[in-house]
Amino acid sequence: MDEENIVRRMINGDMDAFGELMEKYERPALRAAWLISGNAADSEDIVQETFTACYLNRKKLRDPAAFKTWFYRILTRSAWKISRKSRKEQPEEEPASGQADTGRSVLENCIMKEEERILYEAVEKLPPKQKTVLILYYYNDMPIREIARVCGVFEGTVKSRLFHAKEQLKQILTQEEGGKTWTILS
Amino acid sequence: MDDPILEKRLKNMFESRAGELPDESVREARIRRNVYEKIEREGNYMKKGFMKKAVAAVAAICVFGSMTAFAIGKIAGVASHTDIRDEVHTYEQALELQKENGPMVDFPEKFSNGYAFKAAVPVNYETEDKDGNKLGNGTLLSVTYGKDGMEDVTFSAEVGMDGELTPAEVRTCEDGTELCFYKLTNKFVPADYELTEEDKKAQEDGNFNLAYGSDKVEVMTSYTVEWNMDGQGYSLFKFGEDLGAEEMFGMAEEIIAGQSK
Repeated sequence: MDEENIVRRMINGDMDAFGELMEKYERPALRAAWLISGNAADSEDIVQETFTACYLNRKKLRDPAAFKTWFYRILTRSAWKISRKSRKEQPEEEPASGQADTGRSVLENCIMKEEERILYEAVEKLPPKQKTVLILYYYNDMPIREIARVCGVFEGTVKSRLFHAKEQLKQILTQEEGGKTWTILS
Repeated sequence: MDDPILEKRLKNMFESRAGELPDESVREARIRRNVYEKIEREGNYMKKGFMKKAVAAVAAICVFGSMTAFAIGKIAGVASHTDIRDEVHTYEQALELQKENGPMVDFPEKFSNGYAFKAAVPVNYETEDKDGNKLGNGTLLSVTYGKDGMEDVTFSAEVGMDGELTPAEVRTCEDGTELCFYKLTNKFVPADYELTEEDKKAQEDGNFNLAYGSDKVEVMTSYTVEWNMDGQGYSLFKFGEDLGAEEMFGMAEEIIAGQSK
């Protein structure tokens, strides 16, 4: 059965249909939440809140074909809200992002490819909305138009966020590498 | 500005990083369990989404009175519980549930005004007196009918109560069955809600249904047609004003007429 029909059944309160959608969206949603929040416990809360809101507000979804966009809109809003709250609750010496809450040991972090680690930490320094656009574009493979709908902004804003995010990444990476240019990473 | 090297590295980094979420399968299982629990809990607490459906049954069985404050006969309150996982969405499944939970009468798949079967769910209820003593309990089937652009209508058997309210309209069917139409103000309140003077006055005036269990105060008007068949009360219940007494009487008459076929 195609997704539109499953969504239609879910809107009518069919829990089996809701289960099918959970099955399909849970893993990519959890991974996207993990990338956005940088925190394993938060990513779990984000997805939980997203699916719950998704079912409880199902009647608000007018176009079943737009489920994916609607779903990720709820997810990104939840992610921003929970990450913001989490950052406020974190003590100064224990940042919400980065190595502290990845669950990796120092040894494992050393093993992690250096370039990847540097890039990840640079992404973590981006403002949440820029980071989200990067994740939706490069990880979730969403087209610009869909990201615009998810984020509730114009396509031009998405393009601008992508551009500025990449520019900022280059700057951060250059600084991190002590003046080395980005090409060294290539 | 395209930067294929950076873009490729970003993609690789995200993919690699995404796969590093610790205990992913455990988290997924926990999320599923928590989501279902939360949905059920919020349904029971009558939040938006499930509220109308869950409350429809509560209000339908409490149609003649309050959940808490004033007695109707011996029964002063009715507490109900529905489990969303028990809900069915086909008429055939509902007929199966009917074998176990009633009602004793047949209910149609579709009404002539376009309302059609949508869902059914068993409602477990407990009645208590004004001192909080349990008087009885049971299960009844709440059958929901839907129509595009209209509020749902719920049909169910009723907990036996002596009506003290005056119906807004009464109609006598050809077979002598009396149909009573009631308009009620339903106030959904949190568990620690204290009655205002206005609430007390509304209760004294009647046609006021107070239901505890909501997370915020919400007032909704409901409409009910109630009748008796073979000593058992039945009702059609709905929120909103898009269906008048006349049309609800018509639906009740169709159910009654359906028994003699």
